[in-house]
Amino acid sequence: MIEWISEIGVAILLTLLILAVYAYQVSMGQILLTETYTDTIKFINKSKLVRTTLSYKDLWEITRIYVTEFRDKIGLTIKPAFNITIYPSDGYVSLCVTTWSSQTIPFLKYKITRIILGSEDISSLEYGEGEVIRCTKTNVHYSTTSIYVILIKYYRLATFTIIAPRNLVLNAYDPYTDLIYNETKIEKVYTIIPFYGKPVEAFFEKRDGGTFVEYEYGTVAFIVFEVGRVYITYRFPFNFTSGSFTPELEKYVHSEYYTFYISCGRR
Amino acid sequence: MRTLEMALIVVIILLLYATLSTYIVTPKLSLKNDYYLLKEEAYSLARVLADSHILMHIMYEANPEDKIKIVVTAFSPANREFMVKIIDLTKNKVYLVKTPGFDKCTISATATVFYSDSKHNRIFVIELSLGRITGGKT
Repeated sequence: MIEWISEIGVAILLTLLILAVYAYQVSMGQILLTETYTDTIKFINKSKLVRTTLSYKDLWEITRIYVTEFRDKIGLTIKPAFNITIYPSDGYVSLCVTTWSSQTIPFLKYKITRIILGSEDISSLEYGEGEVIRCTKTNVHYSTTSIYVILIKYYRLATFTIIAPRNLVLNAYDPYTDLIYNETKIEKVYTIIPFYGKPVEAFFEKRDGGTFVEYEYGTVAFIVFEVGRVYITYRFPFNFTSGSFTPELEKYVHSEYYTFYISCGRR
Repeated sequence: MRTLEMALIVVIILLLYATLSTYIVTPKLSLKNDYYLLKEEAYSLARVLADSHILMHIMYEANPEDKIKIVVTAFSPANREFMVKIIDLTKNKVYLVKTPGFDKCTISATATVFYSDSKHNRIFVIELSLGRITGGKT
């Protein structure tokens, strides 16, 4: 009798153990499969970051998807293809250009435009161009109140950055409607195309509650003179950062004439 | 007693199976992600080489391999090893550049891009592989 009871007891224990092992296996498998479809992969798939040629609207859409759904989970950076920095040197601008892995590429060509704004129009311009190997001193004067438009070219690879005082930058441009939403009457609009070396005055008209500007392919920003204020608004999200993270994907994408560096990864 | 012994044997076998499969499956699933991301990076880098028309200039200079190495090193992300094979289809010549650590990579992904140089009437195939040296259980 005791033998029978012990046999039954052991059989029950055995069944329980086997079930426990199976349960453990199933739960581990699920954890592993969930890990495969990580937030970074989800973000890449959802934002269609698998492409290498994007429109300016796609770039804005990437930032929108990131801000609305992934900002707490992963980090994102959209930058020009090169790391472009400026610093003052004897009253002039010194320009430094490296890749994002801090490497130097010999003989990059640069164009730099300094834009000084008045209250009703652009008051003056300065322009310089040349070649840069890591750092070079330009012939453009340095000032913290000016806007600098810098174009870097390596054969046909072109990228740009705009360095402007924070109080002059305004998010007034809506890429989805292609309109600038102004508060007062717009008096003058300039488009910035870094290849030209100077802003180009553009035609504009009232449309659907905003202002539509007739701009050229390759326009990167607008300088808007409204009644009582002036600001610059960007057409590309070329300087998007979201704090520190571990990069899992670092790639280059093309949009219009320009190449951008995009990086994303887990926090 | 015989039942108990059998039960113990079965439990040991099952636990062994569970442990081994965890060790084998985990790196495989991890590598699946790494491969996907490396492939993306390799393709975008190969496109930079093609779209920037860099090859139109550097392939006709002496020792093009050195220039290719400088350019790809500069543009590739940190902690990546690479191998670039540029095949000149017109002259049937192959240029190969790789970092010393590429052979030690435990994972790599390759992207292939065509580039046609209409100025010199040449066609190139760019095969760019990016790899990483991974180690241990991820």
